[in-house]
Amino acid sequence: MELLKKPQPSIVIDYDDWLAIDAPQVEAVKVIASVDIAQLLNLITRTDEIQIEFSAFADGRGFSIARILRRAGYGGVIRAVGDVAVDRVAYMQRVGFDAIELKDGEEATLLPRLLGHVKVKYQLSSDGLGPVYA
Amino acid sequence: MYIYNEIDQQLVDERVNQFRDQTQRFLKGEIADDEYRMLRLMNGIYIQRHAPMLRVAVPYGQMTSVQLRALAKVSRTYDKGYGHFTTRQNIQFNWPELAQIPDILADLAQVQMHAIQTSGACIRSVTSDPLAGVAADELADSRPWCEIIRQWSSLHPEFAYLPRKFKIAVTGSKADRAAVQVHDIGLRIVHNIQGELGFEVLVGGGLGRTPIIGQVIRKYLPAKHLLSYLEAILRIYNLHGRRDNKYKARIKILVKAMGVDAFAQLVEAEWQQIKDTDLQLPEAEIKRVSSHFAKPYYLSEQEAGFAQVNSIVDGDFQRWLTHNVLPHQQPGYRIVMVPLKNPLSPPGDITHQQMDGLADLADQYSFGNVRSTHDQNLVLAYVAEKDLYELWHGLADLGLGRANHGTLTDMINCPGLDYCSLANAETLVLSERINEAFDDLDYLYDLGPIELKISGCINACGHHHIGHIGILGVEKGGKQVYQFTLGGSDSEAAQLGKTLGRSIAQDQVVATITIILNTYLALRHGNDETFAQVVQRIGLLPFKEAVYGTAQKTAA
Ligand code: SF4
Repeated sequence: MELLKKPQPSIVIDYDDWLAIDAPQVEAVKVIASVDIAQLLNLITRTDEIQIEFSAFADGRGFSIARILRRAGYGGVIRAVGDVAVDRVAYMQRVGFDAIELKDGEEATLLPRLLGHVKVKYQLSSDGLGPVYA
Repeated sequence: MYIYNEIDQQLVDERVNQFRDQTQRFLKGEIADDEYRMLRLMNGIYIQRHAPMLRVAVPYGQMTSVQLRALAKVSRTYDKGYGHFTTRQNIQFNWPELAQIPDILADLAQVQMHAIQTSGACIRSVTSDPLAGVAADELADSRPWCEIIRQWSSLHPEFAYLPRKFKIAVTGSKADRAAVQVHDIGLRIVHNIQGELGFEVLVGGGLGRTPIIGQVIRKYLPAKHLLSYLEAILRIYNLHGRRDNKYKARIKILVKAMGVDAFAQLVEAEWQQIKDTDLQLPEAEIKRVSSHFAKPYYLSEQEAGFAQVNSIVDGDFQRWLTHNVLPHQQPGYRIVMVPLKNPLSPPGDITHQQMDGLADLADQYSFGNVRSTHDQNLVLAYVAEKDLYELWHGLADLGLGRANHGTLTDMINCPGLDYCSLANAETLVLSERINEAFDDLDYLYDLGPIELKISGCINACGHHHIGHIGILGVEKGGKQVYQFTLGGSDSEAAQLGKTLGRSIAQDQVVATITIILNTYLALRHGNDETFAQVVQRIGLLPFKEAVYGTAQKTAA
């Protein structure tokens, strides 16, 4: 499973700490859902990986953040961390996540089956597919 | 009527399998309760007071006779033999077994139906004018746009975990029969000066705890940009809507807090980045979807028309013709309203026999098309004048011929405490008593059009804020009492009703309505001045005095 293969970087710095040291080039930065996206977009060339933290199952902001990062041309790894459940991974993949860290107790072996469930995609998103009518 | 192509069919089939897998894992204890809760909600399943409730989408209120028969069969096979049409044009089944719901959905998928996004914090099933494509006052048919929105919003990966539910309504007529001003997004079809079709976009309307009338954020949006503009609004809402308090999480609160201009600016900036991408609707796609809603093969006016229909000597028929039958855009045709307001059952309820029977009548007299409305009625939208008398007999045989459309007893009523776990008070007992007390049709006709809307709690599923008379159930000191509002409206000039005064005890509700009606009758200028007009003209004071001056028992 591609999504699980990308090795966790050895050092991940929290976004606020990173800003406090003037955002030098780093391996990976972790942002929370309330991050100032306009500001983040100015810094994306300085990190090879952006981790987006899902603090709760119901919080969907991370989906839009990933989408905006990809739209801005970010080519590094976008990893979902925090409350990442197998049943949400299909949508995560569509909006631009290419790595996930499942929370404890989630069964990674289910992923191939779950990701295969819905093959029809009506909408344009970040996964290179056009809308169904294009 | 939109007919699925292979892709559309594959999507609903795949969704059934996905949900079956989720449900099986949940029943084996492999998915946590709160996670499964969100997954099932996104597929229309609530856990109610007595049993799970399944809400099946009737996208923008359109059904074929085949689909209606399938719904009848579901209610017979998996439920107690009836269904309940809701104020969002959908249908609910109140008694299915959770383990059987995947089978129900599989059955429905065979007739191109689903329960996708009929609940949950996501883009809900889109609603529209039930008279789209047939209304005499129509600018353009709203249904192709609804279908385009349905497809775009179905399983949208980015907007499945919004701060709160999100409702979109579309109207293509001047008269607003879709209540677009009380939706998260309301779309009105308009033409620009070149005569090109587009949308006026309203945002931030809604009922519930904080009722707000939506505001226009764009006067004219070219039709091809529909999806990019919707996407921009949704993205801003997804990122900025409040998530700390579910009562403040709707887009209306965000728009109010930011101010509509600031909100519109954010949307505009986002939209500029995406409007010229593949989200732009190609002409061919608009044509493809529109072709599904081509006019049916109407008979000529000579063949369909029956000018003497008004002179058939049958009083009951004439009453029905006057009240339940509306003009049509096609000469020789009429629109027939079928109220689901049986005095002995909750508003919106329909038995499986009635569904089957109505499906047959639709095949015989209305090109096999049936529609649902946001006031919990059904519509046969393509009836030739020459068939009206026969159709009326058919409807009467099914118990669906009651000529009370648009009257006081054609009320909207949420299920309330009898079914809903959020309710504060019973509502069905009210509709039962109101039906008993006001069963004289001539009296109802004399009262003229009155919209009575009843909700069992502040969530306002019964739309009480926009009823001419609104009733809200609340609990006070362990007792069920009811707050009245007057002067609301869901028309093109939507208005929120104002509170009449202190709450009324359950056994005084009918008496209070009677006083309100008598006050209206006494103060109206001639028989043509409607209830809504009188309240508009004289305000609430005369009603307050009448109610609180004479009502014997009112709750504190
Ligand atoms: S208004 Fe309240 S009681 Fe009525 S259906 Fe909605 S949540 Fe339930």
